[in-house]
Amino acid sequence: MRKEIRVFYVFSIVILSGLWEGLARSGIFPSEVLPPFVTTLCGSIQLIVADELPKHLLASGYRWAIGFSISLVLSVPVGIWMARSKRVYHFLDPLLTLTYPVPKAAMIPILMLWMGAGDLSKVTVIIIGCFIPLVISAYHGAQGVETSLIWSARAMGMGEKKILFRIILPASLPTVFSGIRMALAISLIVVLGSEMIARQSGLGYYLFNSLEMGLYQTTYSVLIIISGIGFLLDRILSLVMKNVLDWV
Amino acid sequence: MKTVRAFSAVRRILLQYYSVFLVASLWEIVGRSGAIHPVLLPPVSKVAVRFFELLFFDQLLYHTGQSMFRMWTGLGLATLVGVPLGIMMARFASVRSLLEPPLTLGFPIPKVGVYPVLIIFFGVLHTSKIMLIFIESAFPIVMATFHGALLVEQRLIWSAESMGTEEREILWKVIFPLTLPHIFMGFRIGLIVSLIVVFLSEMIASAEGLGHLMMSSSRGFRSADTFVAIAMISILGLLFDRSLLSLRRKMLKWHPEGEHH
Repeated sequence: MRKEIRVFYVFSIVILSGLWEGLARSGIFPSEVLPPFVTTLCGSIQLIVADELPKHLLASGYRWAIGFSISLVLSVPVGIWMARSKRVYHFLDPLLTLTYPVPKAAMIPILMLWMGAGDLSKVTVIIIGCFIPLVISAYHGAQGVETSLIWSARAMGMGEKKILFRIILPASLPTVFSGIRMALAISLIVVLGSEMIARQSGLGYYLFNSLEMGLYQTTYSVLIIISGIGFLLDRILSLVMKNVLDWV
Repeated sequence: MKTVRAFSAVRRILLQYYSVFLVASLWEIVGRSGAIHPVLLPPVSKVAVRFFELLFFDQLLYHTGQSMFRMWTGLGLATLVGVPLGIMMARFASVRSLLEPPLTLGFPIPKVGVYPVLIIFFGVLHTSKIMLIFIESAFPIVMATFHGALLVEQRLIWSAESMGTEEREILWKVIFPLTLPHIFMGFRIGLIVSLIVVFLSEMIASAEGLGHLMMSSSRGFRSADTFVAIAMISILGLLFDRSLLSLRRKMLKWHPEGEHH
């Protein structure tokens, strides 16, 4: 990021938080409805350092990490397989087209019925939610690999396995990464959403619990933390992307 | 002749979607066999019967209407606000430097987290849900429009200007049509996200809508009804997505991107 652009970003954060602070102090809204920014930010720090929030943060993070990585490990091979085999494509494509626009969060009540309201159903819904965008992106990536590349590798005596790992997988990575970005956004929605529906632990639970107990300032503080996490994950992803794809 | 053609059409559909029929019949067999309790997995045929019962003799249409009203109001507002905003960001440096930082920063944040705050301000009825859908779907629409409008070749704008085209006409005749493929892309993401969010918000806090129907029926262990709600959501999602793609094909006939899909 160029330096002047970075200045703009810092500037806009300062302005937005200033607006929040000003609006809260002006007395248009009661202070419970809109607590001042500084108080809220201090509240966020306090929640992380001294309160029970780390427990919920870990609970959400652990479900998210397991669900997201299982989905990634399952979906990329399936997508590449679809691109390599016509039969697999004809089997899976109609199923994927039919289920693609269906919000996977709708599966939460059924999964809760099957697996209980614990971690298993929440992890499963994350796996399902991320699966289709990842499969589709891996399929398009592997599909886009130039056939001439595969032919010339074969002509030079490269084995099928080597072709898969040395040519097809790396060549489809840029497309897979755009799928990962989409899946990241969906997985965060689903993690929080499922915790808001079946409330036991996690950030979504904590957020709604504070709302229902009327601790509005805590709600805002948790919101700041969630925003920070979403932003951080996205930055990490684009850093990884930049390093892995430096040859593109 | 007619019957032959109809027969071959049926055959084509059966062959093309054979996996769907396979999965559905497997579901039916397992559901009927009694291996899994019917509360856990009601057979497809029972879900289909319940679908029509709820549609004609119960409140399925009412719940669907409530969900659709919320979704389309939010998504429509997001499009009405998002598209002009995205184009203005690409056209005017001042708008861009004002809006790009907060939009880029806000993009990766899961906006469902804002829902409790929206409840504080707007209550648990329509408004907070519409606002949440608006926020979630406005981000992809604005960003896609903005990036699309940035890609419009400056040469085209210059040549239009040199031929004496007015600013407004440049917007309508040059920039908007060339940005359209990207607007469609953003709208498609917005559509899917708003479908997710409307049902989530109804599952979290609502007294009506398909999300509420789903939660209340599963809490009452009327799982056939839960599947009915899921089926309705799937049908609507599929219908919207398909119509969007065919609309895009029609509107982008002149564009190379309109050809595939």
